[in-house]
Parts: sequence; structure tokens; C-alpha cells
Amino acid sequence: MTIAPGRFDRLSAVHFALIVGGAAAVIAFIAPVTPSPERLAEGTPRLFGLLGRMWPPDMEPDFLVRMGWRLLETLQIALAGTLIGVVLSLPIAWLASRRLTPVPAAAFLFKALISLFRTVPDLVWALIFVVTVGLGAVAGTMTILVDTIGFCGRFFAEAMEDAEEDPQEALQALGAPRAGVLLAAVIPDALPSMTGTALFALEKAIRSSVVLGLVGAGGVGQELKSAFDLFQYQKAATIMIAIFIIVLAMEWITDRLRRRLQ
Amino acid sequence: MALDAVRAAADPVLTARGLCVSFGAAKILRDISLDLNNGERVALIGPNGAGKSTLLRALVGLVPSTGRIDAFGRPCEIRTLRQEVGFVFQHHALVRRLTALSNVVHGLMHRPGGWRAWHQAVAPAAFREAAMEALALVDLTEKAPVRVDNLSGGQAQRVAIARALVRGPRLLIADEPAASLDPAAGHDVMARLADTSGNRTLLFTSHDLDHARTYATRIVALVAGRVVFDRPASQLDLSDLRGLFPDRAA
Repeated sequence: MTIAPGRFDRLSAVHFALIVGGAAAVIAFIAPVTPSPERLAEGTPRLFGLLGRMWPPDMEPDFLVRMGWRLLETLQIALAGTLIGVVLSLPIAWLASRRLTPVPAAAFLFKALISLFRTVPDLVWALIFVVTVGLGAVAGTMTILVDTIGFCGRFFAEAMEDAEEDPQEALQALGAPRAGVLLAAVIPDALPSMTGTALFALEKAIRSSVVLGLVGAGGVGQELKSAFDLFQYQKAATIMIAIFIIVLAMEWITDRLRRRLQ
Repeated sequence: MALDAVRAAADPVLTARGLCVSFGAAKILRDISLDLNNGERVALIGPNGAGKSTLLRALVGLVPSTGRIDAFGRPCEIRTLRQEVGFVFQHHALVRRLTALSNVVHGLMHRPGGWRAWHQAVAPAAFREAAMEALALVDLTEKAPVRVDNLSGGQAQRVAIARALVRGPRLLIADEPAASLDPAAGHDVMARLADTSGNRTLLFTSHDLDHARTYATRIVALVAGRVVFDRPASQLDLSDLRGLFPDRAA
């Protein structure tokens, strides 16, 4: 009878000690921030208490109208920030794309700019813009704009670099300028991928714009923060349900658009 | 007409002297000298890896080379040369998501107003008309609004020929234009290329000796990056080919 090899590679004592030691170090590192069973046991009744105070959601007409305007402002922030961000992402992605950039020496600078925009969290950008342009929706739009450039800039540059090279070479051979090659060959080929990215950016922007109000950057988040600060949990519940519906609706719309474009 | 007589009456379109191309340590082209004269149809033949495609690319500056290239009797300036050349690639190299018309309009990007030639919808009316005339030359006017990814391989290659012709080039270069097509479509593409080249100079590479003999007036053979013979197609001897394609010339 042929004997199959063992299921696992045999571990040396040193390897075994290292694995056990590593696992212990990770557990010790995350333990202070991990919810303990006691904390969870204490928190669960409080959660149900909060849910009880949220029910029924506030349906007072004046409040619903005010919330409706705030939701509209949230959508305006998301749409304006995404649209401007997508438009600005195109030249930035082109300049950052190593293979296509007209200024190869500066490509890394634009790549670094995109990384900076992407890696700083949107709430931090919102705080910066609240200080620089003041409280309100414009700070929110600026935040979404920067966040969109960080997101779209990276994926647009990748889509451009992945575009089919033969048509680009053909246009070069015909004497087309770099910008002509970009518009005629690169963008048409990268367009489905770029459109998908832009729609994801819009979805992301709507989720982000909801929370920007927490730091004073406009939108329905400001209303939500006031409701929690003033212990108006029924109003908070209405806002959260409205946000949930809006985000779900936008995901449904962008999913359908993406499928149509493919 | 004997080759010497042709050269004597030559109106040089392109002259290469001592052309060399290397990729790292690999020498792809070694000391190539080639004269292309007005109205000639020249087939460049040779086995795989002989350097045929590299030579075509080097002539229009798509790969870096050393040596001297004169175009139209003057030292070559790549930008100017490209404006006078129509290039047809092996796998059409069209933008698949755009229509045949947009792709042909692309051929006019070097002209004044060419910044609008990236799409037929925004191109000047004169560009659209010229593109339709070029499509008519390859019998594809009815395919003008059709996206390239909905065309057959032969039709796409004809669109690529139209993109090259719309420029009214003095030199038409085609890199294995029939290689990816079935025999009938291959002959159709080659015949159109030869017919529509008119008084222009045509330089094409081919693995198909039948294409070379039928559509070229002159044949240049390349082996391991060197020109091994250069003679009128009518004087081609089977013994010439034995070293190049032993299996086919036997």
C-alpha cells in the first residue's frame, strides 16, 4: 500500500516556538482594544435600551422637511465633489502614468500627490477644509473632491497603463501628438474601467458625505450629530433610516449603470 | 525593368545606410542599407526573427537605431517623415471600441486641426469626408458607423489600410498585413494594398512568397538582421529562397 505524505510539514521546535510566541504577541497587542465578554454583556442591554428610545422614528413634518433639505445637500456635496474630482483625476492620472506621461521626470510627484490624497482619511481632510474654507457644504465638497482624486487618480492611471498598446503605437507611427494618442486610443480603451471606478467613487462619496457633517462639513451628518448631542434619538433614527435608503438606492442605481456600460 | 535601370531613374523616397538596431546585447539589425524609390512596391521577406518588423519600425523611429536615414532626399526628421508615411500593422492596431470612421479620421491627426481628429463626432467636416473617401477605396463605406470590434479580421485590416491611405502618404509601410487572415482575406487585403498604393512607394513584409511575388516589383530578403539579396521580383530564383525557407522552396 502506498502511504500518502503527512498532512502538514513537520515543524522544528524552533519554528513551533516562534509561531506560538508570535501568536501570543499579537493577542497581547490587540487585547486592550478588544471587547471583553463582560463589556459586551454590559453593553448589550444598553444597546436595546437605545433602540427602544429610538422607536418610533420622528415623523414630524417640519423635521422631515429640514432633514430632506439636509439630505439634498448631502447628495449635492457627493455629486459636486465626485464630478469635479473625476474631471481633475484625468489629467493627474495621465501625468502620473509612467508609460504615458508627457513629463516622465515628474510622474512620481503626481503619483505621490495621489497617494497623499488617498491615504489621509476623509474626516481629516474635512477638518482641514472646515478650518480653511469655513463650516458648511463647501468644505464637504472640497473633502469629497480630494478623496475622489486619491481614489480615481490611482485607478485611472492603472486603466490608462493597461490600455491596448498596439493602437497607441500605430498613432505614434502616424505622427499623432501625445495628447492625441491619449484621447484617441488610451481613453476609449480605458473608458469602461474608468466609468466603473467613477461610479464606485460616487457610491463612496455618498457614504462619506453622510459623516462629514459630524465635523461641520455640511450635509445630513450635522443633523445626526445634533440629534445625538441633544438626546433626540427618535430624530436620529429617522435620519439613519433615510441615510440607509439613500445609500441603498445609490448602490442600486450605480450597479445598474455599471452593468449597462459593460 | 532591371533594378539598376530603376535606380538610375530613381526618385529616392527613403534611403537607409548602416542601419543597426540592438536590444541589449542582441543585435537585431546589422548594417542595413536600403533604397526605396518612388512608385516601387518592395516586399521584405525572411524567416522568423530575421528583423523584418524591426526594420520597418526603425525606419519610422518606433525603435531606436543607429545609422543614417534620408527621407525624400533630405536627412530624416522623424516627425516630418511620419507625416508622409502610412503604416499598416499586422493585427490592424485599431481602437476596437471606436467606429471604423473614427479610426480612419485618426489618420489625419498630424494635419492642421488634427487636435479634433480624436473622434469622428468632433472632427472637421473635411476630415470626415476624406475618411469616407478612404473607406470607399477599401469598399467599406457602409461599415463607417460600425465599431471595429464588430468587424471581421479582414474588414478591420481594410480599415487600417484606409487609415493609412487617408493621409495621402508618399510611402506606405505594411507589416505582415495578411498574416492574421485566412488565405482568401489575405489575398484581398494584399490586392487592395497594391491597388490603392497607386504611384506611392509600398514597403511590406510577408511570410507568404506568393504574396511577395504577386504584389511586389522588388524583393529584399533579410536573414539574421542582414540583407542577403535585393532584386526585381521577376528575377527571383527558387534557389534564392532555399536558404531562407528550405521547406517551401524545395
